[in-house]
Amino acid sequence: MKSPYTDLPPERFWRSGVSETHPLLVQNLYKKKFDIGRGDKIATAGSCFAQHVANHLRDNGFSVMDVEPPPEILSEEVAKKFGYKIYSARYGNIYTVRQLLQLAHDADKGAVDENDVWEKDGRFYDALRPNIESDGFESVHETIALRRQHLASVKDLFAEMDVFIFTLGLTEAWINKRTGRVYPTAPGTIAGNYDPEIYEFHNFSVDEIVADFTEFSKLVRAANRKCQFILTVSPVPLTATAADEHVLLATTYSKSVLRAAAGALAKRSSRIDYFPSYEIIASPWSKGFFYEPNMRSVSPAGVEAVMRVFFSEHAGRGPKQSGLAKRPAARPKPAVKELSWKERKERQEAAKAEAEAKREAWKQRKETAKVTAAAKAASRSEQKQTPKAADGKAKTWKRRKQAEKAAPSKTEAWKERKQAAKAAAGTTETWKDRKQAAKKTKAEKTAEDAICEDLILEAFAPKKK
Amino acid sequence: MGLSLCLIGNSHVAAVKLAWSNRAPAVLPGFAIDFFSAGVRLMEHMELEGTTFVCKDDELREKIAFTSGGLESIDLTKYDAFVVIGAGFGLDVSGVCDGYDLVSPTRAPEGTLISRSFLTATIEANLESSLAMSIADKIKSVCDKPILLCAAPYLSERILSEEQFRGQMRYEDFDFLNTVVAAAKEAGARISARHKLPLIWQKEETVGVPGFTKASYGLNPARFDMKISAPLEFDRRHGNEDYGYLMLMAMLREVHELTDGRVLANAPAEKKLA
Repeated sequence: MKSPYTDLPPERFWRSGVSETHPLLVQNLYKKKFDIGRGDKIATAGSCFAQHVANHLRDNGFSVMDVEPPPEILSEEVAKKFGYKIYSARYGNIYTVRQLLQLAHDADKGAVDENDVWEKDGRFYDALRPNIESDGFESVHETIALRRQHLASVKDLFAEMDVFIFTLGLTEAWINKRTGRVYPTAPGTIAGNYDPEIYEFHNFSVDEIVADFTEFSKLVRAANRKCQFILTVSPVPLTATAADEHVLLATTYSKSVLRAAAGALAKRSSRIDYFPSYEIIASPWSKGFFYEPNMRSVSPAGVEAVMRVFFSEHAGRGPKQSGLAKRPAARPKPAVKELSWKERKERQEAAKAEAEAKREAWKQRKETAKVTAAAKAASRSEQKQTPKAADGKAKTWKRRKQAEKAAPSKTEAWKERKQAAKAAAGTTETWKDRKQAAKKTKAEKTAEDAICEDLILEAFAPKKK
Repeated sequence: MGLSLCLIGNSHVAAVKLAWSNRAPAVLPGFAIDFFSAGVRLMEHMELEGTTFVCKDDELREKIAFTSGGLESIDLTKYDAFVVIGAGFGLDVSGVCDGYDLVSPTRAPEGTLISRSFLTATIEANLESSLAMSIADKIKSVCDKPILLCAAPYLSERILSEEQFRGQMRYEDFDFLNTVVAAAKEAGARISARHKLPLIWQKEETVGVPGFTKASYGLNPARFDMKISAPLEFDRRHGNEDYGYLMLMAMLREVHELTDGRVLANAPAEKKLA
């Protein structure tokens, strides 16, 4: 008897794919739609979970764009407090797809609306990214000038990026009834004032989200044909809900809608991939292990687990890093019955014997390889002594060498990667420029050091009588 | 009983030392200053062992001995008050704003715009991580005597005629420069309050263009007949003896206050500078 499920692989069954597999040894959960090379320019945005993605990509040698870097002299901590070095631009958290679409339109047109400046205690906040300046701006003028600059940077980002990774965070949002503008936080939480005459609550549906993201991707691709997208859903539950129901129900609704929208978008387009960070963290599989005690924040172990799955597919087109190598496949567990203690013991013994046999076989192979290498070396030295006899081989070697020459060398490939990375970082500075600048700075520093030394000597030298 | 003052810092100590040697103000009997000075890179090798700063580098030990008149370490228990000069604590307008600018209603941005709050936070982070703060905190950890922070002078206004500054409108925009100075003072005040360390900035009369030291208070290497091999037309960072005198008087007055009048012999009338 045969059913449509008969020949399916183990990961298609809950028992073998989930309940009998350790969440850290997950296999075949994610299959990439397209490659991401280490030289590809990656942009990240989304809800707070997206921050981790950018950090890990950077740490693993990917070219994550940053179009609004802070001054170099600044510590990471202070920079992050002001919204720098978190995402590819200083847009703060983008929770909803409508917010993302709005940003793309604003960046495209350079549109800034003074209604989107909120005031609190004499300070001014950019309502579309109220967290980037925790103490607010000095004036409306400063708020708007920095927003204009931000939009110009975002426009460049969207035009340049090769891959855009977006984490969908929320369906709930607050909208200005008059202007239709959507905000990342409710008026009156960080700044502003909640007036039901002006603002209204909106809970986005699957259709709205799919339509918004489709419009966003069209807008981006109109200026940037090469761009591809990876969608993820944040596993972080809602802090609070404005929907008239328990926050747990609201969270389930919100995440379900986002997941359905992401799935639908990924199904429709070969340029949109879905990455299952939500499933890794939030499914019953991980038994809540990847959440902090507040059952909301994702633990570092959870982030690690997510990124391990990501890097198992996207190790870049460069050499894979050892830490990113795929984990060994989980040994399929017996599907029929639980094993007794005796049977388990017997199996362990058998596994031990098998491992021992493997070690022996490996040793033998190593020995054989040694002997073969020695023989080859002896034969090479013989060929050197009788060049005529080795003529045929030498020709083959020559041909191989010529072919290697014709093919792009490793150095060239490295150069290409370097150039791509440089372009991603937005610098045209050459190595020579940097060296010359360093030389000049060094000369100036030496001169200044000399003055410091001389000055101390002069001031403290015993006075001539 | 006379007060013993310990004065630690980098090359900015020199101007104060010149003033102390050449124009010593009237002080109470028994008042004495021990100077300890070396470059910041060397000073980083100074470690606190118990209540003594010990030099973990031979060159540093040599410099400390040279500037203090033979002391190879600093026994903090010997002193009634401390002054930490410069050592990375100061405002370098061109360094802080390199490639960055503030919003101006009157001119186009000359670099990436940053907010005024962010500028203050940047300066505060720099001051906080300076060697001066590290020295002051270490002293504070082992003794409860007054410690005064004394900021390094601003850069000489003469650098504004250098090629890299020419044509940059923000260095002619006094609103911009005053804002940067105000941000630095705000950052300094926050640090001063947080660490409970009094702080003095350079005297207003030594400031020319806001954030820059008047040329007349800048160091002129030729005046000291210095044998400088490096190709610098003038020094950018240091104050001269006139500058040192004003700073010396300011810090003595402050220490006088902090120690209930144990420093100055009489109400000081600043000497007319030659």
